Amino acid sequence: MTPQHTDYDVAIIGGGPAGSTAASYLAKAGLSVVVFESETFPRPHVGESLVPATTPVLVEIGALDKIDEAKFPKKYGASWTSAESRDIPFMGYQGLSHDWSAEVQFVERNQPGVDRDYTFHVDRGRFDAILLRHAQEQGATVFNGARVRDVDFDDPDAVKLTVRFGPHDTVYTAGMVVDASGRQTTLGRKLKLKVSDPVFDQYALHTWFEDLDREALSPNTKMADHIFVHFLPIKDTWVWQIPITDTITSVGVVTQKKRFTEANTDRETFFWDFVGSRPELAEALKKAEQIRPFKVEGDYSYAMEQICGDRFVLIGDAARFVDPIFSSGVSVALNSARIACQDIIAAHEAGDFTRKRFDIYETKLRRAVKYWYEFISIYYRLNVLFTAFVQDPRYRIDVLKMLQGDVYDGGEPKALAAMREVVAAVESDPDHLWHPYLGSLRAPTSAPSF
Amino acid sequence: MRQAEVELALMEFIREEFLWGDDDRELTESTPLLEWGIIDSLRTALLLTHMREKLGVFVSPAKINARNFRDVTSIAALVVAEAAVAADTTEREPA
Repeated sequence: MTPQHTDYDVAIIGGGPAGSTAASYLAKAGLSVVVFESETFPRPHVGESLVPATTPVLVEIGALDKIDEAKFPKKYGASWTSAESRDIPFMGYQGLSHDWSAEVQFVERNQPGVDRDYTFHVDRGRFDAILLRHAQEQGATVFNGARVRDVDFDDPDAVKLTVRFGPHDTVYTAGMVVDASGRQTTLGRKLKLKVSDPVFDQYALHTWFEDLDREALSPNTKMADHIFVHFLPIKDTWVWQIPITDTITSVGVVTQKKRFTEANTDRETFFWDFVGSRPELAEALKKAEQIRPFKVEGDYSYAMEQICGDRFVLIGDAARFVDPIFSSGVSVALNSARIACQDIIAAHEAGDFTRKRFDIYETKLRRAVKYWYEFISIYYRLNVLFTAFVQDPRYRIDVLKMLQGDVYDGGEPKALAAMREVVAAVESDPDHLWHPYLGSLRAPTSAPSF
Repeated sequence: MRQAEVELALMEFIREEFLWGDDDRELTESTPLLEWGIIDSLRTALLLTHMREKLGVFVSPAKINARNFRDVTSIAALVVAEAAVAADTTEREPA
């Protein structure tokens, strides 16, 4: 144990799922922990659909019962719809075939450490508040309305954090700092570690609707509570549809940022123009009532040159964000907190918070995110063709493993090699019948840097 | 697996699924399926599923090109070739 010459062993910037999960792990292990959350919970937040890889972490920190009690809608799987109809048959045989759609259910594959065939769609205001309160109950000190304005690493014995409460600044000291500030990327910006992603310059525009007829949009009404990914007939553009309560549905358009810039219009016009490219979707949305203003996520995809260093670790979105397509945000938050805390607890016992103490975390997270990154890149390249892939029994279970978020342990997921091979074949063969359907996003040939 | 059997099975499937029975028997082994729009890239996915389920032959999605899917004869040739490769691989696996 280090002598208690600092106010806390560990200071955490941000009380979202990454920060509160880290706080729970560390407090349970007996460390003194403080969480500085700049907002006052509950507050709205994007990233509402979970994957089953969150379950083992919620079990470990002892929060799963509280999440169960909150009665969030259960998420049993994922569905994709599209209106692809470029191949119009001759001979008068039209409208016979289905469109490019697919669905998977988590129950189809047993996942280690997961005792149930569902995860949740969550109102992040409530979900995040439950986890932060849980961290407090484990012994963490939690400050709401506390904005970290500066982090000073000059003193080798104590990290100094300048924290703003209302009009006043207060200085706290800690043995090390965990940046869980999410897309704010407090340390990444301060230490100039942040690199924007050259491929995924994405942009999201989202809101909530009341009384959207989810069954009308689902080819199979039993699956109406899945997350839905609706491909739009605009390249690399899609819409998420996530149940928040029985009557409220979160809807967001994700596209490349340049399309919004090119459109040169306001958010509302842009949203309805894009959604209008799927008339049945637009019609269902128009019958529902929009209950929140449109919110934007820009400056979308980024990496960090370092995710740890002497006396700091970055976790969750503060470490990396690529794209929301596979609902990985909260899962990366929880699992990066889990893996980082194993190193932090050992570092604390050794009385040494230098960078080499976080090697395992760095290796594991980089590897997992690399898999995710390639999966997402290939997904966008496959575009609607992904649905054929999901329906193919040879690949389905391996793809499902990725969709469950099960990427932290073991070697390269098998789905990746198979998908890579098919994409390469389709790309190199202009005669391939799938060739015209390829998306325009292309992954860089080099592995992504952190 | 014989080419003629596969051709028959494919003709039957295409008639039922894509040609509403084809009562006038217009479909032949050499009907240009893609050119006439009888199959498209989506329907090839349905065909692949059918070949897998009924004939037990896995055709890689990498092979769905205009040459292999030109007509029933070429699709059948592809199926026969893939079946032969699969059989060969199975035989070579250690007991």
